[in-house]
Amino acid sequence: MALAEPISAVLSKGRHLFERERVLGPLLIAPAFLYIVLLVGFPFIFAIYLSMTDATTGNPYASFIGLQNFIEVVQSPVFRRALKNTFVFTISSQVLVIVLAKILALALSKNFRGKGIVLFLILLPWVAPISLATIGWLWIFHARFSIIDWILRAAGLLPPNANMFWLGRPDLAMIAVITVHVWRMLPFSTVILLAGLTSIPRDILDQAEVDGAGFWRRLFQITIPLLLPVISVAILFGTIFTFTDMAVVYVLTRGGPFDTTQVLSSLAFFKGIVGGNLGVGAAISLFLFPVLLFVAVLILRLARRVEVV
Amino acid sequence: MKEKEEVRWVQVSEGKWRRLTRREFLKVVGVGAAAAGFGPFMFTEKTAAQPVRLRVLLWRHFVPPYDEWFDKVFAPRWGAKNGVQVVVEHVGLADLPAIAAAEASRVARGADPGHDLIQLLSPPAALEPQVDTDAHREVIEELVNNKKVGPYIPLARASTYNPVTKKYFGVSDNFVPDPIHYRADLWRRAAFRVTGPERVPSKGPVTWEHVRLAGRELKKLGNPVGLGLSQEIDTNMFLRALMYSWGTSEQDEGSNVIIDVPPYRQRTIDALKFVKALYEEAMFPGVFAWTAASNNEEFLAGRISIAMNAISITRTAQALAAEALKRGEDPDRSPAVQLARNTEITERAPAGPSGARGLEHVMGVYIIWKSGNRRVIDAAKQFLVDLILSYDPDVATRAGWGPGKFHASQAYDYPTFQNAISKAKRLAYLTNDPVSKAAGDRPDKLATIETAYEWAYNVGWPGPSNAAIDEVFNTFIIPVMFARVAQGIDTPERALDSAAAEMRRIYQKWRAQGLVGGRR
Repeated sequence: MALAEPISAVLSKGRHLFERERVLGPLLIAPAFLYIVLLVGFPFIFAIYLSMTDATTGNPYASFIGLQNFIEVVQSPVFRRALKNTFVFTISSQVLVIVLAKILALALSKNFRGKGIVLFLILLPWVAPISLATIGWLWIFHARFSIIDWILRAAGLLPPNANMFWLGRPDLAMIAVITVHVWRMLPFSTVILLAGLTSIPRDILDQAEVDGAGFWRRLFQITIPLLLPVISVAILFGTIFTFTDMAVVYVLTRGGPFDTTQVLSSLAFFKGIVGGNLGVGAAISLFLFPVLLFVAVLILRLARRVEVV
Repeated sequence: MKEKEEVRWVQVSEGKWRRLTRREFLKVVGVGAAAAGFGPFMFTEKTAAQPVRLRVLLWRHFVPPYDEWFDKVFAPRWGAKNGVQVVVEHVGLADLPAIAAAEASRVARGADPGHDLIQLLSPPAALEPQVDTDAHREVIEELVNNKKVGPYIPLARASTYNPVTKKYFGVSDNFVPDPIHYRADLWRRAAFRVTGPERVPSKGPVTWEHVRLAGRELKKLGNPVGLGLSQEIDTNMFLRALMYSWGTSEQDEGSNVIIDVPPYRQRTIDALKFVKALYEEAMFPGVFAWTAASNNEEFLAGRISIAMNAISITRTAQALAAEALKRGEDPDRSPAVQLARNTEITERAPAGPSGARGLEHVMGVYIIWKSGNRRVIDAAKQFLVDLILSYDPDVATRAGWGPGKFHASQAYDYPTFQNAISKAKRLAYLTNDPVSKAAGDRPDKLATIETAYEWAYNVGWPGPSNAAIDEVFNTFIIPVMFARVAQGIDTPERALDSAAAEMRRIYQKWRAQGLVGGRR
């Protein structure tokens, strides 16, 4: 009994401590903060350090050379091409993803038999390891044994024994890379939009229907405006995932044909790791940062502005 | 009851036991815990006597029986004989440079690299600061001076020795000859169709011009030429072989960039124009999506008529033929046997205006990390020495790891220590090749690869395979230059200027690191 009193006093004091916002807040946010500092902050600062040195894979602790790597990178035509490609791939795939995800989400918001199986199949690309899935796509776009070519030949759209050479032609290779990105990001955006759709109050849509609003009117004047904050989040995540991804390009084209599908992240890998030029690789990867920061701020502000309170 | 459970017993003399008090028990446990905590410091001698663990990383060989021999015969038996636990891991060849780069940074930090010995397939000159160059030199000296299996051929020395620092950044155990493979049946038909002032020999191409002329007809027959113009290793090798045969290169002997400097500039432009013509007349768009497996896939599928490759195409065709014969197929009618019989290799690399120069298909180079662990480094050195000595089937059989490296790789791995297996033994195998015979094929079909010692040059020839060449090679500057011209995106002059500017930036950087010579 003598022991129980102090323990209960300590517990009660602790409870009071946790009830204080100034204590509980930082405590709850600490794991996330630690995670960001250790796994994002430290590598980011290390990348800044590397980008201003002549570090190589054989000699990662080298001399300070200022902005020389950045100047070298900007002068390179391969970098400029990769920068352009990064935007082309990200914007094209995100436009396609959002349109297709909206259609899918609308379809999935209705009840029908086998909906669970359809949902499972739609989610599969998201849960499959990207490198493994891309190897599957590598066969789909294979120069000789492409199943797409086989279908086109069977449909009479391609002469017998002819091939499209999907990964051998710059325009088709770009389409291939965008297709894989869309395939991969579609489930994520669909689930987010589906969640957004279910949160729209039913009575608003019912009221609109009673007032005589048709499907398209309800879609463009009620559903999409109410979904805009959710769509913004889907775009934000999709943009960041696509912008920073190198697995699709690495496995599918390795940046080819002749660097026409090279993106910043794959170029940073080839230059920095495979080529051994760590400083230049870090400089290339840092070009992603201001762009992503700008995109993130823009989308989050947009989301806040359109939020329905 | 609880008291009883806590009682422990101690033996005071034989057959006599007494109970241990709680205090005594805690003492015993405390001493035990302390001993466990300080164990690593108290029992260093015992720890030192534990077997060394040697972790080896290498590629998945294109001749699978080699991996079978390495993993199941050589490595475990060598380990048992030398008291070393050998752990072998295989990865795809394209993944090796990135893994080695990541491990190099761990070595630089003083951390465990993950592997102790890595076999790379192109000269890893950029890793020089993190590898044990003394260990490499000692392995080479042991093999050349004491074991007398040299010479260490010039191709290997140029691929592993840095003349600027005067250090060996690797030890090459093998090179893989890279002849032209052609379909003899299709070639004969195409050669017959080539008319006009220039004729083509019916027994396969001797020059690059023959490849173009016959290739034009082969493409019309539906079996185009398949030489990669993509960002992968085979393309890197093929285009350099072509450039060398045109008398041009990335650098000179002193590591100065010469690709765009007269008279090499015009030669490079001529080579670019030739490849454009070759693509337009004899190839197909699939060459821009070429991978390391495309040569084999396309040739064995009967789609292409010409490829530049190691003997793995022949070996795979022969393996398929041997299976067909085992199934009881008629050799004169079996498509697999016919394909094997019609798969031929050229005696030498095709000649260009400046001579017949080729490269190696891959350059096997082992590196030992500068980990500071003497026992592991010594084990790695001995492992390499014995692996190279095992080329000789008699040495390998005596040591218990027969049939040895040369036979296990089916003559794919060619020795860079030229007498690791004598010429007589090499030719004895190649002129009476058991793999060819099992496939119903000519038993001396591959005997001509022996000439590769005369025509195979290193990446970066006539200079050394240095760190700048390594980066130029791994970032595919040469394939991109040729591909852009072949597709008509750039003129030869523009593509060359762009590539040369990129190369100079790379050279400048590595010169500043003190790893590459030259000034221009």
